Amino acid sequence: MKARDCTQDQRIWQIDEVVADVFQMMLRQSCEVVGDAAASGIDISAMVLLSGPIEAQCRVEFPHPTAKKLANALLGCEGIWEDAIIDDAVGELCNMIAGGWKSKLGAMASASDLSVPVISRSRAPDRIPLNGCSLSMRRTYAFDNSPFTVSLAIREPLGNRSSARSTK
Amino acid sequence: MVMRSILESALRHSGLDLAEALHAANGMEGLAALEESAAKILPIDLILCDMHMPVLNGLDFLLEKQRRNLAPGVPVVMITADASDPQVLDAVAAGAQGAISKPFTLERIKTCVASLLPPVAPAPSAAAAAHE
Repeated sequence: MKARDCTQDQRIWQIDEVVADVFQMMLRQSCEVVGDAAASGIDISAMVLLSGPIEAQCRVEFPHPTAKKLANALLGCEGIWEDAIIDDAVGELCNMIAGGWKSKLGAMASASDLSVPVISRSRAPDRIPLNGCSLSMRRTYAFDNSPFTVSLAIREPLGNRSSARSTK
Repeated sequence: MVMRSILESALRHSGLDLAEALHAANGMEGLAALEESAAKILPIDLILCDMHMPVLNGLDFLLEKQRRNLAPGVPVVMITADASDPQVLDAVAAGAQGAISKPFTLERIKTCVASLLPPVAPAPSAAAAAHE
């Protein structure tokens, strides 16, 4: 069985929907698509890996001011947060986006496991080779005029690849 | 720590008479918190437990809690960002009373938790949240 066979556009709408749902439910804020270029000034990134029948990575990347706003929004108040709390907020967001995305990938993805988020105080390096991926995409969003980037990549077993393929 | 704070805030805004919330950063800390509570004879009404935690994950926490007979009869609700995770079903089969998917709304927390708690708390009590 394939990871749910759908077009590149459908995959992008799916991740847009997941990101919007996370922000609406957890932060009660809208989150708009900015484009495909990465947000500038990445200071903090979080990555969740999917391992099993399908291998994938979900990475979110934040400039520090956006990450601070995220922590404020999640915790419901403005504060001078320790780095660990800001990192944890970014990790939680990555975790929720990865989980929501996985649920849209179909039965084969269900049998794959999500890792706990790994946080980096820089751009996290790719953990799966992008040139072997059936999907590789990047999307930048903004909430409260603050940008952040989501990058996704999937590697499916040979013979199970969907027709969608893109590298941005 | 962020999700634990969100959950505690959600519980407090749900109209529950929450005397105290015990926090644990992972399953091992959760077990230690339950042992400490048992030693102090501090009643616990509810355990919210993330499925994905470092050191000891949610399912293993649940199984070990039962093996040690910690907080017997206290409802456990699993929290997960991965609703398709087969381990959620394993946790329910192992005795978890429910699961809440992240992201969640305040209403979802309220509905789930209210159905598991006694209508009137007989004494000051604590809810334990084991969460990465």
